[in-house]
Amino acid sequence: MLRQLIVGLVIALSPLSALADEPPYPEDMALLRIVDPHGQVLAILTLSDLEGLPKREIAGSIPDTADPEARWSGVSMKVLLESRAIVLPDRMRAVGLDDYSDVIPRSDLEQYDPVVAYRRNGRYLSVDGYGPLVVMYPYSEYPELHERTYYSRTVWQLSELQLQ
Amino acid sequence: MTEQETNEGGTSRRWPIILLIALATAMIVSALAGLKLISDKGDDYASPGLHTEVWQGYQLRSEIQRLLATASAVEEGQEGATALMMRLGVMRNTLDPFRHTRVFDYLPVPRPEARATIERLDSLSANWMQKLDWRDDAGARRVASDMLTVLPRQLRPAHDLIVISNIAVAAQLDSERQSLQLTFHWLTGTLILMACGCLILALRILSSQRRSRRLARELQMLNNSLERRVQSRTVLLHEREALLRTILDSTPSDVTLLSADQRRVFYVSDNLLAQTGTRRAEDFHLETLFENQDDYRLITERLKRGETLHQVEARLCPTSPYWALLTARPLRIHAQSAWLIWCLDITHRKAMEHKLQQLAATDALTGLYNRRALLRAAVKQLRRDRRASLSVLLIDIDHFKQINDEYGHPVGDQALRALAQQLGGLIRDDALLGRIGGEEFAVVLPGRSCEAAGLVAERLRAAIADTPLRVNDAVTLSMTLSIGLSQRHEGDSLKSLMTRADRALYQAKAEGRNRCCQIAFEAPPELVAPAVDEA
Repeated sequence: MLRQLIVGLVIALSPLSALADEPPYPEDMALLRIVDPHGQVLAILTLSDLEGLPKREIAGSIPDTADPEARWSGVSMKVLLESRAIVLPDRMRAVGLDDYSDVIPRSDLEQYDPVVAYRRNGRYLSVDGYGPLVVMYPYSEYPELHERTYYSRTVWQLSELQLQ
Repeated sequence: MTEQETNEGGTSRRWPIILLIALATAMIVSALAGLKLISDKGDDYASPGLHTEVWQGYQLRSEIQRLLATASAVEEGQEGATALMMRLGVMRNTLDPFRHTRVFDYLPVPRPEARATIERLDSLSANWMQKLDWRDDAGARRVASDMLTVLPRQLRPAHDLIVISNIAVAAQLDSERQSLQLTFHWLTGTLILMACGCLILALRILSSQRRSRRLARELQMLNNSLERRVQSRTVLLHEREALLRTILDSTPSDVTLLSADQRRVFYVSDNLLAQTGTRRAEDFHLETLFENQDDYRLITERLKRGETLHQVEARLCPTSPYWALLTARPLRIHAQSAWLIWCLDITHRKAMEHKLQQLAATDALTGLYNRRALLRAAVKQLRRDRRASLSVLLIDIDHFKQINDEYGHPVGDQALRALAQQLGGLIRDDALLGRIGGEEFAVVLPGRSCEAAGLVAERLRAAIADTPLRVNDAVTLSMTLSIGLSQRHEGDSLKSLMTRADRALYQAKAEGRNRCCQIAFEAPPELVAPAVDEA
């Protein structure tokens, strides 16, 4: 109890906590582009755009890293597409800043409702910390997600969604 | 079998059990160990393996090249700080997995240059990141030129990192394969052990089953033989019992065997059942057999004291009593006290005895008491009352020899019979009359005074003297009697009484016959009696 209090006080008084709610990148920076199958850009979203949408919180961790399980906040992919009046595509390619990409089928959106997360344990994600956006699946809710298939679809440093 | 042999037998029987227990324990332990192994391995494979280091190495090298491209663009003013920071961030991010991976531990030969490359890239990028700011494009250009001088030299180590990662991942995969193979070996061993154990247990169960079947069969055989023996013994017992019953049924005596508490009747003769009016043996009661309950009590009390009774006479069967001779003895039967009672019907014997007694006491000629019986009767009276007055009359027929000589002995006998009859009619019922010699009679008169006795004697004498005695149709005789009288005094014995009466009779004879004489008790004897020739 006492320890928790001390930890809480230290966090509250540290200058980091003051910065905690400021993203480690320009707020008006384009974070995510949505592109149709012909390469035409359908939408470009900034952090404020994403934060303007209904928030969804899930628990999970980034595969293949030493990250412990964390609480991820972001926008449901389904909600994200619907907010831009985009019909759910059969497949869509999630592309990272490092040009990694994997295809996410519509069934995943319907069944697991993955999230485009911008906060981890309440903090924004830096670019050198797998951010600014991460495609996160609700691993703790669905244990069957612990498969290579979904690990591969958990794209970090998400920068683009290509509808197919 | 000695004790030692027994112990050895016990030990040899105990060994297989101990071995079986050890085997079962080993099987359980190996099964648990196998489960633990499987569980651990299962945990290892619960999530997909990593092995992404080669890809990440490739990514790192590629990101360095892209960073260099971006840095050139920034230096030429085509891109700003944002682009440079983004690329630097992505490059730094590709370093992150390498900071945590343990894949290099699997390398067959340590390659410290891999870690050195990672640390160098990390410190360089951290340094640049610190110098950069999103809004400071000029600063970005300075950093970009720095990058362009430093980074190209890192492309070769980054390539080496890919190669080393590849070797390390291959080594890790092989190590995991070996571990898995070891696990399979372990499991194979465990399964073989368990299969052997199961086989041994199954054999053991089969042999136990066979043994128990054999034992059951032997038990059944034993049981059968036992049953046969019991049956034969039962038949034998029944035969013996039947034989005993036949023997008891055919004895001339009636028998009963019953428990001392009289609750159980083991045997009772049909005769006794009939005599007590009982139909069933269990309803037989000893008490109802006796006419006189005193007899019953006496006999049962003696039996209860453990005495054996020999030839006790008792009257049985109250409805038609008869004399029986009882022999009874206590004994033990079925661990309880019992009485065995034999009853012999002696009615006939008793009648014979009575007849003999009568014969012994009676004078055959006259039917009167003989001398002995008369004396006995007198003694009995004396015993009844020692002070009672008692008189004795000795009667002798005068000149009886002449009658015999004149008419012959048969007429003499008839005369004696006729006299006896007449005398019997003349005396009272309480007087005892007997013939004590040839022509000598005696009368014992109880409870009379001296005078009264004298009167009786005189009456007898007078009656015979006055009345001719009709002996038979042809002969009528006149006879006279000499009577000696004695009266009992205090302290008188029967013998002295008789002696006095005898002396008085002599006196009467001597004085001329046909008279009564009496000798006083006190008077000294005047005559010494010689043998009486008339008698």
